[in-house]
Amino acid sequence: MIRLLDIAARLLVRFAVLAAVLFLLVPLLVACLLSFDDRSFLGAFPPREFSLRWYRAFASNPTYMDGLMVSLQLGVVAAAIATILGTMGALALMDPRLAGRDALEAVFLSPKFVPTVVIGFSLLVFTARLGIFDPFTRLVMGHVVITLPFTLRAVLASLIGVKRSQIEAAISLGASEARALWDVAVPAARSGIVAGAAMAFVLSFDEVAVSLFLSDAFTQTLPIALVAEMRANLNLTIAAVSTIFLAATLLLLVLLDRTIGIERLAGDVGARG
Amino acid sequence: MDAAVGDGDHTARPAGVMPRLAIWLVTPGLLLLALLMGGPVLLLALESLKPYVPGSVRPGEGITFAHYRELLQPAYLFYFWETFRIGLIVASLSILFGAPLAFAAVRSPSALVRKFLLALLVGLLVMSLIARLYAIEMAWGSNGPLAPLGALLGIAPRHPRYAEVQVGIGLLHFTLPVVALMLVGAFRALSPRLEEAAASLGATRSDAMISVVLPLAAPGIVSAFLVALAMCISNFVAPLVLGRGVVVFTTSLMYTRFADIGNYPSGAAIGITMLILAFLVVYGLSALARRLIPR
Amino acid sequence: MLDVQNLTRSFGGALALDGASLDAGPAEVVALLGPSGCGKTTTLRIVAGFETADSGSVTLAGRDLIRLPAHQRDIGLVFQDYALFPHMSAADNIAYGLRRRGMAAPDRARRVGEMLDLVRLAGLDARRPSQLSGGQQQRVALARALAIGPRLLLLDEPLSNLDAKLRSTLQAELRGILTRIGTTTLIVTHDQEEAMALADRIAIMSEGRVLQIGTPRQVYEQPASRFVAEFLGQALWLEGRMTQGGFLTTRGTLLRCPTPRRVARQYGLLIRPESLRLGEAEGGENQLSATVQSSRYRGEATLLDLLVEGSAPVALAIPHETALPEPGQTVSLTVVPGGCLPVPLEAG
Repeated sequence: MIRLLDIAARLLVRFAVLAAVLFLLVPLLVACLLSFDDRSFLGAFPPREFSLRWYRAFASNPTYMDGLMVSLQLGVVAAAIATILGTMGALALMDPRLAGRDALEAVFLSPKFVPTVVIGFSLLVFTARLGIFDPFTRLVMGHVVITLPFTLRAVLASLIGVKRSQIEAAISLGASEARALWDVAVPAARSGIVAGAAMAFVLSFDEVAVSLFLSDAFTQTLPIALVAEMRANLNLTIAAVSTIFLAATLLLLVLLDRTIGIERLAGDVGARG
Repeated sequence: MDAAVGDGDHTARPAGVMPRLAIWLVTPGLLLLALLMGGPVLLLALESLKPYVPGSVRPGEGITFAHYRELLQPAYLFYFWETFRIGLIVASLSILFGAPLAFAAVRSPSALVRKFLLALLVGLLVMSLIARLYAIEMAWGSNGPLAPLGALLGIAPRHPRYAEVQVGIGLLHFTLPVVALMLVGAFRALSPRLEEAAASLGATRSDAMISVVLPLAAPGIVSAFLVALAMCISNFVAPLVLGRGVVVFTTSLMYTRFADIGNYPSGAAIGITMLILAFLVVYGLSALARRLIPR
Repeated sequence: MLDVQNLTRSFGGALALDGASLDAGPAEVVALLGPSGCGKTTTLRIVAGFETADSGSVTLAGRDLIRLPAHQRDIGLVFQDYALFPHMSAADNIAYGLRRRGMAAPDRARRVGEMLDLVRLAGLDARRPSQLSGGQQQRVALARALAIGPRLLLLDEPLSNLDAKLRSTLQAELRGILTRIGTTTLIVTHDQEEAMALADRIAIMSEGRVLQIGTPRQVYEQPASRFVAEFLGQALWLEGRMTQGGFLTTRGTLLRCPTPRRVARQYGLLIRPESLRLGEAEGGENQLSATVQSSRYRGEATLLDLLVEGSAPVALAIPHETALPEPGQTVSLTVVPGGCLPVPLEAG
């Protein structure tokens, strides 16, 4: 009897895994298929005729293309700043004997707990008061704040393998503490720095709430442009965009697997949530 | 740590070292956060105490708690409750389905399965949420192939509550990869020897799960649940894209205050309330959990 | 060369160093020996510059080190976990200190080659630490510390991470290298065998103070206190007092012994097991009675665990041919002439 229950339980779990995987994948596959739909309206699934019209619609829309430009530039700038500051912070926090180390880490990670709408709105009011009106500058500010926790955590996780004795060995051989960190800790953190920068870029690219408050009519990020358009007129351009993102993600995954390895990356990412 | 072990002196050492280099390393980041998050949030709090002048964006003079009092009205409390309720459901579902996913990703005997699952989870983590939400709209919407599934659950696309279900599905798509990956970390920390020991003592797989694995992974599960909950109640895009204006989260409420009405102080009050609630949820519930589940 | 005076250091209320002093002359190898928690590692780290002392002084070749930051002290350090840089080859590891000093590339290469020859690792220069065995890593760590030609070499438990066989081989090699290089060396260890094998002088530490410094022979044969006597090798310690005829144990046995060399308030009697013989001697002097606790077979002899006059058990090695007494049996022991030594209870 117990054996039967056990087998039933295990089957249930297998089923749960399958259901979860399908739940996650099917919408993506549907969007992918729909992106090639030749119909000019959102018709019943599945499509019969296929074409690239929606990809053309996306590429030929100046609002989207401008938005893409803004998002790319914003992503690079914000990720760069966040990676530099996050790496510096992680290098300081890797020493467990540091005074107030845990409190400092909590402060650096605090943006994760603040709702992005609050960050966006508060920055809007703040920059207006200070007389900073350039939307790109505002966007960079907001995006750096929300990506900093991720770069810090990624670099910190990859610094776990660096032992304090290695830093002290470099110091005993004549390196100042800063030089020792640069020679010993930074090379070890390479994978974390890259992973952190990549995460920051992706996060910035996808961010809606902060961007919504800080964009204006002329400087919009791609997600904002898309949401604005889709709210007015839902069409399959978004399916084309989804598929492009899917392809980009797959590419990124292959790249990450070649360089860092998926198993290890999952460990770093899942470490502290 | 492990510099020159041998004496055990180091266990007795209190923290107290703040070398100059460390100060130089953390100050830029701290300064940035103080200026770009701390300051603005403080300003927001001040803004929330100013009275609203209809028709003008500039707030009036003086201090008032009216905006906070307004939130105590049943209509608003209802919004807060709705947000929290959906968050609870989604967080629970993400644990329910995330745990088996995570476990399979860690312990499946097939390396291919493990790699596939991990790639799926990591990939979803980096994939655009907007793109996913619209994909869900298309898959589960009125014309979508999965709409009949909704009928199975007793709710048809025409049903007024369907928007709620869609928002829930969207949020679940958002939280499931995150929760699963956090649980991957929790399960990885457990040695397979523990399950083997349980098996050698006569436990079936399910027994070993319930009596050994889950209790040990409990702190990680609780963390993951709280993270999922916080993610849900702070989420803005899901109700925006899938809510059809019917599902109103506190985040959407805040945005409409600001964008449609131009009532900055009220929006600010909602924002500050959200912030406090988010903190309470994470820290309050985790403290509670720590009380109930001994580590 | 190295002069450490009266170091004190507390960690959050706990006193780690309580006035520790030691010295090491040019080309001398001094071992800092003591149990876990005695303060030897803290002393090492203060000399190296990674820890500050609350009071006391450290001078190297006449220069005051306390004011000097760690990276300017010109001291070679070999860590217990070797602390090799994992992303650099063995050669790059060894060259690191030379780079910091601005040595030109050809000179560096030559020096690295010399060091690799010294530690007998020529040919392994391109290997990463992960591709080297424990013993090889230890040698690279040594070469790296010596490459900069330091005035002082600090070794932290150099052989503790190696298995027994490797340890004895490397002990001899290390001794040879240290002699050849001629650098003043301070070795921190909890292993007395290591200290005896490697050091010219041994400083015994306990509870933050150096109890005695002397050659291995001096500290073994003339320990300054009970702690030193019992820490080194095996010791039978009998409590009692000095009297006219010698030492009177609390059980009433009188044993002949020389007058104590150090003046102290209380003495105990130290008898090393190698000075004990099984059986009675003529004249009946210096006899002790003991109870057999157990016996253990060792390759070279059998060890008899004996309880003498209520002391802690001592192991007496007896050749295999001797008739083995049963556990519980009472036997007579004779102390060879000169085998009894009165030792102060506390170091002066």
